[in-house]
Amino acid sequence: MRCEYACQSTAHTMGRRSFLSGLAGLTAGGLMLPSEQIASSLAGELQGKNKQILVVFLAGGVSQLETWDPKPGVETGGPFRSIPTSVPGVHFSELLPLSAQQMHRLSIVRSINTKENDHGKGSYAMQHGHKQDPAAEYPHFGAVAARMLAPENGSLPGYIQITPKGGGGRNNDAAYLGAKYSSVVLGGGNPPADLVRLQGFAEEADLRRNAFRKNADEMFLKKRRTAMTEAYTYSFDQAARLMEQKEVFDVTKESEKDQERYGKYDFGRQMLLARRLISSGVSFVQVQHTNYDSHYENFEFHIEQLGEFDRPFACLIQDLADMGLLESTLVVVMSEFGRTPNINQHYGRDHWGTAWSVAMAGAKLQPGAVIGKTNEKGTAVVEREVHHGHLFHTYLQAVGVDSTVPIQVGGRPTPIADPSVQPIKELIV
Amino acid sequence: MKPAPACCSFGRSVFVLLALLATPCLLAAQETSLSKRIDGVIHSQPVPLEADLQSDSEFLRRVSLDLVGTIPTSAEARAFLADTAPNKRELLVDRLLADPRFARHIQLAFDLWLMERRPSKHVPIADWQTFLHNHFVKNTPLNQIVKEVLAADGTDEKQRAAARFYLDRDGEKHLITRDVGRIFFGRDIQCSQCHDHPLVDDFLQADYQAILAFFNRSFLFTDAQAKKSFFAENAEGELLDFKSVFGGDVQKARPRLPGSPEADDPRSAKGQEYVVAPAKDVRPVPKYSRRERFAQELAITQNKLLARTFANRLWGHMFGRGLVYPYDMDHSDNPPSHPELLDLLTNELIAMNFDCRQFIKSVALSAAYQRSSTLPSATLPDKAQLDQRVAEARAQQEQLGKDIDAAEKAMIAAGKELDAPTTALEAAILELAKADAAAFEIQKKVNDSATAIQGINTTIAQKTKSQKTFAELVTLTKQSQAKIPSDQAIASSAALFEKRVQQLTAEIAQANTMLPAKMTEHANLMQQLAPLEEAVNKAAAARANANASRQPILAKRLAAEQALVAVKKRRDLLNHQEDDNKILGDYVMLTSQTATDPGVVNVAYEKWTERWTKRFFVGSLRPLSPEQLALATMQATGRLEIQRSAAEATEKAVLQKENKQLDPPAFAAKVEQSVHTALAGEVAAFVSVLAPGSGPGSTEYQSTVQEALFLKNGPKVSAWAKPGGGNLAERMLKMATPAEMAEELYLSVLTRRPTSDEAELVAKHLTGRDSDKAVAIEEMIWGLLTSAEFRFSH
Repeated sequence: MRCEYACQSTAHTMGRRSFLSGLAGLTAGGLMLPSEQIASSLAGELQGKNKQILVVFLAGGVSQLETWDPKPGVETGGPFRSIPTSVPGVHFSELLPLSAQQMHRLSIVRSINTKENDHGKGSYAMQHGHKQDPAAEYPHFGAVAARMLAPENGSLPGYIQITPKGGGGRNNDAAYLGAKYSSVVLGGGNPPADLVRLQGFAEEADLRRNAFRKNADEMFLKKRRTAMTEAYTYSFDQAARLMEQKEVFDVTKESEKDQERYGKYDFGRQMLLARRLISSGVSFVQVQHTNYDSHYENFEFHIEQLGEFDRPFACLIQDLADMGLLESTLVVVMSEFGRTPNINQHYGRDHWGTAWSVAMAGAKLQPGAVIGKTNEKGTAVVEREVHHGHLFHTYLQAVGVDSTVPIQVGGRPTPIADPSVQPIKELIV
Repeated sequence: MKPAPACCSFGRSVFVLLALLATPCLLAAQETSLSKRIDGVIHSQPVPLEADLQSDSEFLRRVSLDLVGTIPTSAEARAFLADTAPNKRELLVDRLLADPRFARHIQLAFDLWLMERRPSKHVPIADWQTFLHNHFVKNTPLNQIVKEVLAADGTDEKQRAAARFYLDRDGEKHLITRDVGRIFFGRDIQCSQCHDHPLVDDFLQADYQAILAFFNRSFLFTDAQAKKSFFAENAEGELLDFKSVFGGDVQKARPRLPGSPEADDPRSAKGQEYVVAPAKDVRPVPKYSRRERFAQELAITQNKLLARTFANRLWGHMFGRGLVYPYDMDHSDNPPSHPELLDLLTNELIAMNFDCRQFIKSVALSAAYQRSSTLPSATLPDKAQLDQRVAEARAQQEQLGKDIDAAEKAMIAAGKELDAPTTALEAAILELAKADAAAFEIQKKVNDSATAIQGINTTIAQKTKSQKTFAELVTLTKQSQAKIPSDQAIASSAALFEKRVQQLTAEIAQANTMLPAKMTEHANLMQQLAPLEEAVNKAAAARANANASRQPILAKRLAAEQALVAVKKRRDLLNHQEDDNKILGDYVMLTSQTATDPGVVNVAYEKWTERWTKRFFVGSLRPLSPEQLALATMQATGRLEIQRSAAEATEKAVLQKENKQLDPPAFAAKVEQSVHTALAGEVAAFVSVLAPGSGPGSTEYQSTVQEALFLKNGPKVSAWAKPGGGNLAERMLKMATPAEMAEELYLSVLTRRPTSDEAELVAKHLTGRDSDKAVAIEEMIWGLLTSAEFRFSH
C-alpha cells in the first residue's frame, strides 16, 4: 500500500545515490557513522572547492527604496536621488555611492514577496528558508552551511555569528543538525569563550597533561573505539589548533590601513573581522547591523545607518574580489523585510514584506544581474516574484550544494530547503 | 492509493502488534525472571562472538551512571570490589534504586523525553522538575505521571507545573499533536499533517487529524491581570474536513487515538456546553473536555502503545539506544532490532504497572546489560577456524539451497495432491446442501400438517370439556325444574343448556370428520420425507468421508509449508552468520597483514563491534550526558564530596538544634536535595556548552571544539583538579608513594585500579616533580578526566 508520491521516489533515489558515494568514502579510512559518511562525502566534494558564505543582516528591515530599488520622482520615492552604478542602466539610491561602484560584482533581486510583516517571523523565514512552523524546527542558514560546507576535521567553527553587542557562547540555532553546527557567537566582535589558556597555567603543564591524556586514550582505544570516541579525542587536537589560530578572531591584527578603510566604528570593525574570518576559511559568517526599523524619520535613519554600511560593504566586496575569494564566497545582504512605499505622517516607513529587495554577490551567481521588478511606485512585484524559499535554494546552489537533495539526519532523509519551490535558476551560472 | 478508513489507524502492523501483545505469556516463562527471559530472547539469534560479563569495576561504573547519574567515589569503589557477597551486584542495584539520586536521575531522563531541553516560557523549569521529582520519589507509575501531565491545564496552583508540556509549547495544537505522536506513541507523524506520510505506510493523515481533533479546541489563554497563561478549551469547534494535498476523498476528523476506535465524544445541549462560558478576558471551561478525554484514553485504554514507547525509552536509558531507534520512528519500515524482546518488555512493563524501578532492576541484572564493551582478543577466532566456519557455512548453504528447492517442490506437490480431495470435498458439501434443502422443504410441510392436526385435537379436547360442563348443568337444572316446575326461568335455562350441548356435540363431530384427511396427508408427507432424509444422511456421510480422506493430505501440505518456513528461517540465520563470519574474516585478515593501514583495521573493527553491540553481544560505548559528565567530573575530583559533607553537617546541625532523631532515608533525601541545589549552576555550565540546542534531536551527542576548549581552558575543571578541602588532589598530595597515589587516582576517576603499566606511568610522571607535585597531580587528574575512558560509559 505504499503511496507512489513524487517526493518518495526522489528521496529514495537520492538517498541511495548518497549512500553509495558514502560507502566509497568508507574505504578511504574515515571513521564515520553512515549518516555522517553521507554528509561528509558531500562535504568532501565541496571541501576542495572551499565554498564559503558571508551574510550581512540589516536588522529592523532596511528600505529597498533607499537602497537597491530606488523610485525617484514618484510620491513613494522619498527625497533621495538615484545614481548610476557600475552596470549601465542599473541604479541605486544615492545613499550607496560606494556599493554602486561594485554593482558589476553584485546581483540584485527586486521582486521579493514574503507576505510577512512581523520582525520575528520575517527574520526567521529569511534566515531559515522556511516560514516559522510551530510544529517543526529548522536549522539556521549558517548551521546548514556548516553542515554542508565545513571541512569535517577543521578546527575553526563552521558557523560564526558576529553580533553588535552581548556575550559570546553558543546559540540554539542548529535544530536537528545538532550542537556541532550551532553558531559560535562573537558578541561585540570578541573572541569565543575559553580560547586562551587559563592565566597562571604554564604551557609545559598543559603539554604534560595533554600527553597524559593521550597515553590514557591510546590504551583505552586499543580495546574499543567508535566514530564518537574518535571525534571526541580529535576535538582536543582541533582545540589546540584553534588556540594557535586565536589571532583569526583578532581584528587588530589587520593592517592599520584596512582598519582605516573599513572604519573605526563597531560595524566597520566587525565587517573587517568578517573578512578576516572568511579569508581564514570559516565556512559561514554572519554580521549584524541594526537600527533599520524606521517608523519615524526613515530618511534620517537611513542616511545614518547606510552611511555606516556602504563603505565597509563596498570594501569587503572589492577585497574579496581582489583576494580571489569572491568566486568561492557567496555574500548576501538581507533583512527580515523591506519598508512600505507609503511614507507615514512621521516621515517613516513601516514593515513591508510585499515587494522588496536583497543584494548578493559572488560564488556561482551571475554578476551584475537584476532579477525581478516592482511597479512604478514600488507597491507590488510585477515580474519574477520570489520569497525566502526560492532565495534559500539559490544561496545553496550558488555554493554548489544541490538544495533539492535531502540529507540524512538521524537515519531519515531530510530536505535542506523547502521542497515546494525552486532556486532562481537564471541567477546561477 | 485510497486512504484507509478512519478506523484503520496506523495500519496493519499495529494491529498485528496489538494482537501479539494480547497473547498471554507462556506459563513456563512466567516462572523465569525477566532478566533471564531478556537474555533468552537475545540468545535466540546466532551468537558469533560474545563479550564476557563486565568486571566488578566496569559494572559498578556503568550501573552507577545509569541509575544515579554519576560515578562512585573511590571509597565506594573499594568497598564494592572488596565485597565477597555472591549477590553483591543485585544488592548494589537495590541500593542505587533506593538512593535519592535515582529519583533525580530518572526524573531528568523523563524530563528530556518530554521537553527535550525546551526553554521555559510559562512554567519555571525548576517547578516542573520538582513536580516530576516528587513523583519519582513516590515511584508513581509512569502512565499516571503522563496522565497528570496531559490532563493539566495550569489552573490548579499546586499542579501548575504539570501543565508545562502544553504551556511551554505555547498551547500550539500542531506542535502538541506532533510531539504527542513522537513522545507518547513513538511516531513522528508530522508529515501526515497534509497527506499520508510519503515514506511510512503506517502514518496516515487520518491519524494526525484524529489526534489533532483532541486539541483543536484548546488554546493558550493569558490572564492579563494575573500575567499568567493557562491552557484553555472551547466546547465547540470541529476540524474542517480534511483532504490530502495529493487529492482524494474528503475525510472527517473525529478525536481518536491511533489504533483505537473513535473516542466517545459527547455533545452538550445547546446553551448547556459550559461550566464557564467564553467571554472577553474569561477563560472558558467546557463541561466535557476533549483534552481530559485524551489523557484518560492514553493513560488507560491505550497503555499498550504507551508501554511500548516507554519500554523502548527505558531500554534506551540503560543501553544508550532503543530497540526502536530513532525513538520516534516506530513503524513497519523501521522495525525494532528485537521485536520479541520489545513485546516482552512492553507486556512486562504493563504487568508491573509501569514501575520504572522494577523494570530497570530487571534490565540491570540481565547478562545483556552486563556485557563488557570490549571483546577479549583471545576469543577472536584465527584464520583457520574462520576458514573452516566459512567452508561449513558454504556446505550448509549448498545443502540449504537443495533443502529449499525440495521444500518448495514438496509444497507444490502437496498442493497439487490436495486439489482432488478438495474438489471432492467441495462437491460433497454442495451435495449435502442440496439434499438438506430438499428435505427441509418437505420437513416444513410435515411440520405444518402436524401443527394442523394438533390444532384440531386441541379444539376437540376443549369442546369436549365444555360439552361435559353443559351436560352437568342440564342435569342440575332438570332436577331443579322437577322441584319447581312452575319456574319459567329454570325451564328456559334448561332448554338453553340442552341446546348448547347439542351444538357442541355437532361441532365435535364435525372436527372429528376433518381428522382422517389430515392424518392421511401427514402420513403421505412422512412417506415423502423418509427417502429425502436418507439422502441427507448419505450426503453427510459422504462429506465426512471426503473431509477425513482430505485431512492427512492437508496435514501434509501444512507440514510442507512449515518445513519451507523453517528452512527459509535457517537460510536467514545462515546468511546472518555468513555476514558475521565475513566481517570477522575481513578483520582477522587485515590484522594478520602487517602492512595494513591502521585506519582500515579500525573501520573493520568498528564495523563488527557496532554490529554486535546492536545485538547486545558486546556492551555499548556511549557518551555521558552533559549532566552525567558534570556530576562525574565533580565526583571524581572530590567537588561533590565536599558539597555533600557540608550539606550533611548543616542537616545534622539542624537536627541537633531541633533536638530531632536522625531518620536515615529522610536525612539522605535532604542532603541530596541540598547538594543538587548547590551544584545546579555547575551542571548548567556544562549543559550550556555541551547541549546548546533544544527540540527533536537535541539530546544526541556531538563532540565539538567548544567542549574541548571548555574542558581545557574553562575555569571549572581546572579549579576542581587543584588540591583543597580534602579533594582528590589533596588526598593524593598527602600520600607517601606513587603506587598509593596511582590507586587513588584511578579508583576516583575511572572506578578501577591502575594496571602495572599505568602505575608506572604515574610514578614516572611524578619523578623529579617534588617541587611542583601539586601541579603534577593536577596534570594527571585532568589527563584522566578528559580521556575517552572517562568521557564515555562502557
